[in-house]
Amino acid sequence: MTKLLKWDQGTLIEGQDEDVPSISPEHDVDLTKSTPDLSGVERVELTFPAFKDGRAFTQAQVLRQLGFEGDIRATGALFLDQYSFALRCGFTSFEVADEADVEGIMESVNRFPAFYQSTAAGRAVWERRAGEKRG
Amino acid sequence: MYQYDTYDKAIVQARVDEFRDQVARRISGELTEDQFKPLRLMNGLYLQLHAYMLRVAIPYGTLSSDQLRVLAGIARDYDKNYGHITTRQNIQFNWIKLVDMADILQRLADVEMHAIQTSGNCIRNVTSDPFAGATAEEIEDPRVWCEIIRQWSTFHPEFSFLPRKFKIAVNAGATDRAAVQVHDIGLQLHRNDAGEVGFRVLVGGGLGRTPYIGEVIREFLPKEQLLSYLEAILRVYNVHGRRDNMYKARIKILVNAMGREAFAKAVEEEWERFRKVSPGGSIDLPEEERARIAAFFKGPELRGDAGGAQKLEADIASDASFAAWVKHNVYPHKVDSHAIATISLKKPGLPPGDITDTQMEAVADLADRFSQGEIRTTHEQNMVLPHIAKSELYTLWQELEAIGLGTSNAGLISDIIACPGLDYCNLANTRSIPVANRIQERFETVGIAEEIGELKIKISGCINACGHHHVGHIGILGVDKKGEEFYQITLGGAADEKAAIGEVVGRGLSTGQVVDAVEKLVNVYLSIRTEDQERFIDVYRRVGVTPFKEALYDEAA
Repeated sequence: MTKLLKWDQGTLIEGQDEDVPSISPEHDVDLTKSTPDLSGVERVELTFPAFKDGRAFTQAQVLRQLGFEGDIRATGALFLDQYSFALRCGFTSFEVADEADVEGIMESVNRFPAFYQSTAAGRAVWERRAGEKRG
Repeated sequence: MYQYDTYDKAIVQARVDEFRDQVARRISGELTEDQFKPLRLMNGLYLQLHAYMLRVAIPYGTLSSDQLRVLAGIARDYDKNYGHITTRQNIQFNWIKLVDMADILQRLADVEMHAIQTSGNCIRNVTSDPFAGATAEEIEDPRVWCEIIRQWSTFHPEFSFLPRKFKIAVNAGATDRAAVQVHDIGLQLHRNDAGEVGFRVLVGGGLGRTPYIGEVIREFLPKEQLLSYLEAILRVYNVHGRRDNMYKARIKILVNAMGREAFAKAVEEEWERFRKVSPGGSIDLPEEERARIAAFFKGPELRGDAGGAQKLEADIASDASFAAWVKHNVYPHKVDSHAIATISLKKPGLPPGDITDTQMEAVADLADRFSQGEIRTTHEQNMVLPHIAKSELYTLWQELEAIGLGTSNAGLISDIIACPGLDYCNLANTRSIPVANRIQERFETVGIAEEIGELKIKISGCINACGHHHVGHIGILGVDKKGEEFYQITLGGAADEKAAIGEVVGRGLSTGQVVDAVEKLVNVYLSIRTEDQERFIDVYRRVGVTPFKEALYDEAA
């Protein structure tokens, strides 16, 4: 059995699935080449067939770089410490096992105070350094 | 060298705290080994034959004396009093207990070190020229770009679960001491016709089961566009690299399957597209941040050394052993009054690349006295003191001699790269260290190492090629045949600017035959070289494999 976690204002909360226009590209599709028609699409579901298979991280980044602002949902084999990576690539909801350790996931997500990359989830360290210098 | 600011410190400290929690959960049984494995592998912790092995990152091979003292303390307090320098300029500890891991990482973090991304299918520690910042050969200090890559690649959200591990090396001079042609990405700084400095970008080099020399996919990349270009390469790899077979998952297999031109085209297209669509603009670092990082690598103000060159001449004339050390282990510095000194970790009879806790502390002290507190590690598993005044070389060498580190064999036949082999590693088929030691002993007895000159022997205990045998002038690969150890010889490999993959000479040799075989190869070389300066590798390139093959196999037949 699974449940749904949604990223909402800096935290993951359990939510209900909503029936919205969505697409589910396969995990091995190169979205840079086979760009789907995103007009009217509110959710894109991406799959991690195994935790080692990081292709969906690129797929999510590409979607955000294409300007997609809807929900990007992860399904599949993410382990606890990968949620931070997923959020930073632009994922906003997760289909997880019922027994998933949401508290543990949040602890992992909140663990790091800064990252070196500029992503959907925040400014890079170098941008923050520059900001401080300018005051 | 680079110093952490509050952000760098906070990131590394968070990692220590996180791993402390994870280890506690593993020890309490909350995490199974299967669940814990990906976590420990993200912190450089492997489970080997006898114990956990911890690989600590030494970014681009640069260490301060304080950092080296902490490594010495870890060796003493948590290991069996030694560490092992790796072929990627890192250090490994072979006897770590899980319960000690968080304390070890804390000690590292306290001196701005970590074990982040020293294992796993991510971008590993970036390697470079151990003489960086000290040699006149470089266009600029490559470590500035290494540090930029270190930061960019640390916990990269998109590229931390790649098809396979990913290694980048940066070199900045005509002499390649970073082996850029046998890395997943090799970056060579050079000048274009307009006099601008940029990178030649090579992709798809590597050793392992399927060795390749990297392909140039871009002759000139403006420096300031490095990160966006790296992102484009990594993105093409992450999407298209094979994941069905771990032995075919490295980028070299993808580059070879697509062909150089198609791969380069895919990267260029992605680079262009990515630079257009990226909402926050380019990922490339602004000049302000590059300059901030570069300022840490200005290097020491080296004081004059009046009469130093004359004193060195006199010291050389008075002591033949010292003269030999200067000849083999000392290299010109960009400041004429100074020199770069290689500390050989290849004393015959000892495991290549090992250094004890007391030696590490002594080297740290010597670095403070003679080398501006700086130490380097090399991919040939030695150490370097980069800034020695010529007048002080003799004292330095005497002090090194006193602690067993004055061996004058850098680049010679006994300066062997060897993987840990069956003595430690659960992948190995054969032992490597004893073979290295037997070769060293043979040539020490014969006493002709000097006469032979530069000869790079590299030994791997299995086809994963951690001992880089493919790029040895003489490569030795251990293979298991029905429970018996055999060794296959390759010739003509090189990891420098004339990189080449060695050629297999013939059928495997038994443990008993392998040292004799090396001696036969050396005798062939000595008999056909045209002058003393013609190195083994030069002779091989001139005459090919035939005379060597005949010497190895005709007698045995």
